[in-house]
Amino acid sequence: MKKKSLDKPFEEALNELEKVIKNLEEGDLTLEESLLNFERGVKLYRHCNNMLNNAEQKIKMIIENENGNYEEVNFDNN
Amino acid sequence: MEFRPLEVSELNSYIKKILISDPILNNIGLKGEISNLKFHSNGNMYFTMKDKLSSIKCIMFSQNTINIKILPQNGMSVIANGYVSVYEKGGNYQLHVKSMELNGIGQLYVAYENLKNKLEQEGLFDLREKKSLPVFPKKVGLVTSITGAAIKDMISVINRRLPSVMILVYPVLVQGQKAHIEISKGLRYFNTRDDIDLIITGRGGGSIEELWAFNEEEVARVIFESKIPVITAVGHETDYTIADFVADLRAPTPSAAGELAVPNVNELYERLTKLYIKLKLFMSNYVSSKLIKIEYIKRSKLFTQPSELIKDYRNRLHLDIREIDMIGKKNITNYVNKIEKLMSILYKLNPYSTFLRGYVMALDNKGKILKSTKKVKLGQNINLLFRDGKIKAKAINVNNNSKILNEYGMGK
Repeated sequence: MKKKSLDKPFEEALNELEKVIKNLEEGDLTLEESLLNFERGVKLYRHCNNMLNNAEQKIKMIIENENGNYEEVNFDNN
Repeated sequence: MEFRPLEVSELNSYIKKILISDPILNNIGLKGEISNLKFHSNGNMYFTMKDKLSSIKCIMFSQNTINIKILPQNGMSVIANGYVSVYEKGGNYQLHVKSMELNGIGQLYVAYENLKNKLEQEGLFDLREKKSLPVFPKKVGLVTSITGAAIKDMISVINRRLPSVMILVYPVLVQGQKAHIEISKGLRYFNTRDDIDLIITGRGGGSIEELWAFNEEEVARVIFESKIPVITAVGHETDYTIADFVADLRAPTPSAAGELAVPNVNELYERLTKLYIKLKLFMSNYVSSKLIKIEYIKRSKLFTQPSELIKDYRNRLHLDIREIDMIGKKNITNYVNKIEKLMSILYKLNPYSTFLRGYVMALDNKGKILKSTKKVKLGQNINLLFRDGKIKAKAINVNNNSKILNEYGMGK
């Protein structure tokens, strides 16, 4: 199991969390395996929760400049 | 003043010069109905345009026909743009068509149906080609106009449902001549990036002409080729554009597109929290069930009365040994009986035991057992084998008789 912070898409993390719980409920795991699974589950939960809480609300507009390159500028939606 | 008589070709050439230098005839739009339409193998298109009173021959060269957006048909009402010129060889004037578009709404429907059938046959609407939408997009690209209610609806719905999502707007015209070019460009732009999870393109309601950009072949093809899933939201619930058929998902309205594009964060919180509770519950149950087990073990005889346990085991051991002893003895007797039986069978089968009972074996010269008088010729030498020696003999009388044993009371 990785020690560093997760870099997983939300749905993958959520699916893995579901799998971890299924493992725990169905599998006949040893105490150590159970603890590892539990730890992983908590990590996945925190990761998902952080992603949901990360409410930055960014809206950008794509502008093509004279050179034909694209830039992102802030977009005012009002 | 009198001119010299002209050659026919000179006259036609002169007329041509006059016609092509006329500023009006040089660049005109002509309304009319197509008839006598012929596609030449060289790619040129020949036809006549007519109204109720009159008609004119038209030619469209192959370099122009490839840019045509509609599939011309006899009876189709069109506006042809081009210039009038003369075909000198035949002395007839004709309209050289450079571009052509449909004239009137009724004709738009024909174009719509034509393109729809064409793309459907090519498999652009095939359900198997539809990409599934991401459950939790991080970045959503919008290809739409930055004026109007559509973009406001999309953004507000997306932000309400999933505040964490980043929205990138590619501003385009959504109606007019160039709209489909801009929309296609926007869709292609997002496909050059690898961080866009989903694209929404669309606009608010309008007339069929206003929505027309989303019925253009180019837009349909770009949507089909997009590696990023595309949601279309064009006009109102009852408007179906070609783009809608090709899109991975059609939203009935721009705000519905927002709903379909992203999940509701509250539902996700709920789902996540349920999982977390399950996880914690499992762990506490797991630990308490282990604690109960430990408690149970602590209360077992091993810990409370170890000497009693040892006594129990000792008694059981004694019983077991006695039983093993008995079983062992019984088994040995069985084996002895079995071996004796086998020995007596073996003894009977031993060929030498028959010698002991007085039988004699007859062999030929090669030592082969003679089992029948038929194998023995008169005067042949045979060996008779006894338990304690052998006799060389000569067959002086061979009497073949298969029943001979019966006479001695030994037959079956």
